[in-house]
Amino acid sequence: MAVLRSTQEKLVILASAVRSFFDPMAGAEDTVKWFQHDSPRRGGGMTSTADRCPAGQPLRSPSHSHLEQRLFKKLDSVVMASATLGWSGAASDYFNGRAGLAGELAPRRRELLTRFSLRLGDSRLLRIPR
Amino acid sequence: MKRLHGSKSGGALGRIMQQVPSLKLPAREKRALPDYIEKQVIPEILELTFTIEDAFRNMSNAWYKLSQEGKVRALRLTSAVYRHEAFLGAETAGHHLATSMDLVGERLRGAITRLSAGTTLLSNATWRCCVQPKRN
Repeated sequence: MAVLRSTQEKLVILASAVRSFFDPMAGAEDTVKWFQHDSPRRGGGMTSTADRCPAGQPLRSPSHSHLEQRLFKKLDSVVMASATLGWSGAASDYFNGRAGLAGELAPRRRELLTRFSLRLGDSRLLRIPR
Repeated sequence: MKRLHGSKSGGALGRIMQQVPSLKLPAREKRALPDYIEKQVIPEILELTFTIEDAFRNMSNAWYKLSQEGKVRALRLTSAVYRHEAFLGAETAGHHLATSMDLVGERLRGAITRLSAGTTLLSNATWRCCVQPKRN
């Protein structure tokens, strides 16, 4: 009975996920969807030809809390450096939010913005494919 | 799906069908329930197995065409991809897959409801046996 119940529940969830994946409007605002190449499972299996998997993930996914709880919270200190993130406050805020540094760990976070020594006008290269 | 209906052991449905005679069910239901599982549930599970294969084959073809012959590992679905001709086959297959999943889910729900009636009767009977007469 437990197998029947769990399978029935999984099928309902999966059917909904498949519909959302193929509906361009479903989650258009806050979800990114992609086809992912997945290695076939060892020993084949029922879906042995299914090595291209549909996938989707909310943009504001639990990944930031995952990083916060599983990675950063367990460490005493982490030094993260970037040549461009301090360029504007918005970029820094965005990064902190996505990396799980804007929530519980925000009081522990220290930011240091050094003088911008990179001469962007001389250093950047724009390449346009033909 | 294999856990549900394995080819060798019969899976969970096979075990349930073996146990139906020992359930506290009306005699008519004891005959009808295995018949329902055999004729309504199992064929749809087998059909779903083929549908899954077919849907993923279609998705694989679409991915291959859209990702420039497999050069890209993960292909993001943009509005252009949704409009692409190669994607339409995968989309149709996906809808068929979702419908098939819904159908199997519905059939399983029917089986669960009917089996639950049997287990409720069984548990009620057990409960009655356990009640001791009050001593004065």
